[in-house]
Order: sequence, then C-alpha cells, then structure tokens
Amino acid sequence: MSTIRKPVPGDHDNPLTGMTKTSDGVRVQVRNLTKRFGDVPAVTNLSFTVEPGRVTGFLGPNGAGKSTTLRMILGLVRPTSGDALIGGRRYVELPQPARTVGAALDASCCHPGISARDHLRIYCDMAGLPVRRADEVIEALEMSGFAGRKTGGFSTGMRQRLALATALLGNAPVLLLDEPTNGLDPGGIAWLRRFLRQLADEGRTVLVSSHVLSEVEQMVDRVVVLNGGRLMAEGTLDELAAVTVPAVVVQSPDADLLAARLADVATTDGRPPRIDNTNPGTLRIHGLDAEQVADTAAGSGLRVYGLTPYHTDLEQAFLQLTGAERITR
Amino acid sequence: MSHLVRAEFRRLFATRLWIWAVVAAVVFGGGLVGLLTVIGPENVNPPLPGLDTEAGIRAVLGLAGLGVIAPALFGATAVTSEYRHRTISATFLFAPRRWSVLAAKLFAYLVAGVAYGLITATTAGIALYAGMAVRDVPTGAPLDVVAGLLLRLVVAMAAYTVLGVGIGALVRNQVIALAGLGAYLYMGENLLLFVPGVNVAYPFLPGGATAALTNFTALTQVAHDTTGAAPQLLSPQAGAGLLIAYAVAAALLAIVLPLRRDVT
Repeated sequence: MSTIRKPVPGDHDNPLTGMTKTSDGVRVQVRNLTKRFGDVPAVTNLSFTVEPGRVTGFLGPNGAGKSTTLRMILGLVRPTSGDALIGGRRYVELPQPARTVGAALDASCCHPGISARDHLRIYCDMAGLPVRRADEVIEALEMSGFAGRKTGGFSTGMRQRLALATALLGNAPVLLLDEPTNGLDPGGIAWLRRFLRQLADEGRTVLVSSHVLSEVEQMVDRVVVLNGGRLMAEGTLDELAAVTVPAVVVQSPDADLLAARLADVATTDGRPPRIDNTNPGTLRIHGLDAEQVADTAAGSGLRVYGLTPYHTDLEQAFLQLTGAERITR
Repeated sequence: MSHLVRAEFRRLFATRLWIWAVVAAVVFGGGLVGLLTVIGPENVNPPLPGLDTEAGIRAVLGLAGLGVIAPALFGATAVTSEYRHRTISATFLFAPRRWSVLAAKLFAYLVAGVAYGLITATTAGIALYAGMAVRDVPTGAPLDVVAGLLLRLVVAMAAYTVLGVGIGALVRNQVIALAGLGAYLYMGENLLLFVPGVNVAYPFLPGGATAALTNFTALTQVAHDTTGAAPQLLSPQAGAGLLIAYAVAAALLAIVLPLRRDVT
C-alpha cells in the first residue's frame, strides 16, 4: 500500500472530505481488454489510461460497454483477454483493495431494510476500518439528515449519495464512478462537480462514466469515448472537439446549383460531403472547409454572399463519435 | 478474515429478519411441542404413542425436527439477498477474494444456526415438561434421553442453516432459491417417500437423514402403512454424519462456485 500512496508530510486532512492529500497518484491502465458474453462482443481490444490528479470522463451511449469495462477493472467480470492494472497490479491482487480503489457501480446498491449508516458500517467492517469512518463520510456528504433511515424509502439522489459514500469509505486514491449523475438534479450535479474537482486536486485518479456528455462536460478534464465496445477517442475536451469533421455555412442565391456541385467534391475521408439546406439561400456543408467551398463556387461561376466556418460543439463531436448521428453525410 | 465475520454478523442484525428467525424457532420448537403435549400425541390423527412412552417423546420432539425448513430458508437468504439487492458487487469489491466472503457468511450462519437450534430445543424442552406437568402425565423417557433428543435438534437446525447458505450461493436468485428449497423440503422429499421404488433413496436424502437423526419414524411408518413398503432409515449416528456431509458439501460448493462467475 505504501508503495503506491504516500501522505504528504504536514498536510492536513481536508475538512470537506476528511481525507489526506496524496503526493503521488495511482494510474489506471486498461490494456487490450476484450470481453465476449457468449458470441456477443461487449468490449473489444480496449486500451486507455486514467491519470491521477484529473477527472476523466468515460463516455458512450447506453450499451457501449462502459459498465462492463469498469467491472473488468474491478475484477467483477473476467476479461476474455487483456487486463486492467491499478498502480501496476490487478484489482484482485491489491493488498488493500477497498483502501486503494473506491467504486460506485450501482445506485440501487443497498438492502431496503438496512439504514444508510448500518450499510456503511458493514463495509467499514469489511475493509477493516473503524465504524466511525462511516459517520465521517456521512458528515462529509451531508447525509446526516437521512443516514438513520432505511434505504428502501430513498430517492435516487439519496441512493447515489450512499453509493458515493460507500466508495469514499476507504479514502482511496482511485475513484471509479458509474453514472454518478443519474437521478441528480442540476444542484446535485454542480455539487458533485465541485466535489470531484476537489478529489482530483488532492491527486486522486477519478473516472466518471456517463452516457450524457452535457452532464459531465463541466466536470471532466479528459475523456475516453467508447462506442460498441471500442475506443472512439481519448484526450482532452478540446482534442475531442477537434476530431470532428469541418463544416461551413454558406449564403448564396445559387444555393441549389452550388449544392449540386459541392456534392461531387471529395472530402478528406473520401465520403461525399453532407449538405443541409438550412434556410432558403443558406447551406451548411459538413466535410469541406471554407477554401474548398469558395474554390468550387468560383470555378462554377456561382455567387457567394457569405462564408462562415461552422463550429460543431462538443455534443456534436460526441454524437459523431458514438455514431448516433453518423449517417446522412 | 475476522473483520469479514464481524461484517456478516452486523449484516445479520441490521435487518429485522433475525427477529423473525427467533419467532420461528420459538413457534416451531416450544409452540409445536407445547401444542402436541397439551393435546396429547395419542389424540392426533393418525394417533402417535403417548407421552408416557419413550416412543411418544421421540415422536413429539421429532415433529419439531420438521421445522428445519425455517433455518434452511433463513440460511438461503445469506447470499441470495446480496444478489437480489445488488450489494454483491460492493461486497466482492471490498473482499475480491470471494471465497473469504462465503467462508465468513458460512461461519456467521453456522453460529446463527446453532443459536436457532438452541432456541428451538430449549423452548421445546420447556414446553414438553411444562405440558406434561399440566396434564399430569408421567414422563416416558429419562432426562438424559430427552436432552439427547433435543441436542439432535440443535445439530439438525445448524446443518440445515449451512445447507441453506450453500443452496443460496448455488442458485443466487432469491425467489427461486426460497421457493425451490421450501417446496422440496415441505413437499417434494416427503412425497418421494410414498413413491415405491423411488423411496429407497429417501434415507439418503437430507429429510431421511434428519428423520434418522431425530428418530422420527412417524412419516416412514405412514408410508409403510400406505404403500406396504417403506425404506429402513439409517442409524441416528449415520443420519447425523450424512446430514453434516450434506452441509459440508453445500458449504464447499458455496465457496468454490462464485469464484469464476461474472458479477454483472
């Protein structure tokens, strides 16, 4: 344990989380991970790295293989091939797993007849932690108001908080959270954003999965995008935006003729450009840049009144990568 | 390992299930034996030997042995409730060496099963003597024989609790495990006894082993009277051995089986 995580001397416990800052983080490496359930491939040859000190978004539509990947990292699902390492070791080989990785996999994670406090105390026992650690986490996550109640009557937001509390018990340098924003209201999401930022600033490795980019866009530094069990992109949000195809908006009284000409122009990836006639006299062309459009118009003697590069936003990039809009172009 | 056992005991007492288990132990122990004692086993249909005979004492305490179904169901919730409420992921995350979780559960439930058996036996004993005193019936068996019979109840209850944990770990689905186990113990095994040819297996089934252990021959007697032939039960010692062997086998399965299964 001490080989992968050292408290900084003289550093004080964080008042919000009750946790100690770490000097060196723990990296999570996924290497050529593949999982097939029978003949159905869930994850195929997936490799990526989650770095300490950052919040990494793990994105993809439902069924992309995010949960299966997290479960393989955590030793709950056995990979068909490949492996996942946490600080250089497989999860099952970690000497103190609950104090190395905190994970929240399922918001419906508790016995309805047990109180939140008892639930946390059970897992304190399992991890060999003093039961007062349960009260510390309850305090830090502002759960005191409902910690004594049986979880059967909890709202989704309360369950999410309990799942997060369970993950935080071990004060682990790595946090893996599966869809933690599900069922949270905007205030809850904002709170989670600040909380995860703080955990990352303490040097922890934080991975947050989501199928809704907009919910995690504000809280992540890097993204790993998954679709159909394969890696689509890995990098910063800016890098993600950059992988989208260029697009321009053009105003022309000869829009119809121009559209016909542009349809024959080769794009960088060899597919024909996608042309939307957004308004009378206005075209939006995906796959070509302003230069190509201007040259085509000039070569055909067509009039152009306006030519503007069109910024595809992040959501667009995400949809494009995950195939939801891959399509008509 | 000890912290996992502590976690299982905390889990056990965190819900109200243990209270119901105590109630069941009292009802199927003291309640049932008290009722039979007061009514008098010679007055039930079919009539059993009276309490002034050792056979009567054995029959009444043996009937309490039919209550093993409750600790079996109780044990079956140990693992199945974790799957049902999806806590099994968190549990295996906190203890990725999965066998250790199952071993801790088995130990905790063995202790709980012994406690269940002690409550059953103690209340049954009290009810027996109190009932006989009330009816002013002379005791058909000396105290050491009664104590021995009560001890066998404890063994049976503990063994069935462990058996239930094993079956639950095997099946994982709570509804199927409880319904299947309940139907088998309540009906299936006893019906088998009345099928000629098939019933030769009965002494070697858990129910037959229990009957041998608790010296409960009423059912086999009825089967004999109805079908004209009933298998001979094992000796009490062999019955106890077989029952414990079933429990150990179930426990080993419970420890070995979850090791490779995916938890999705």
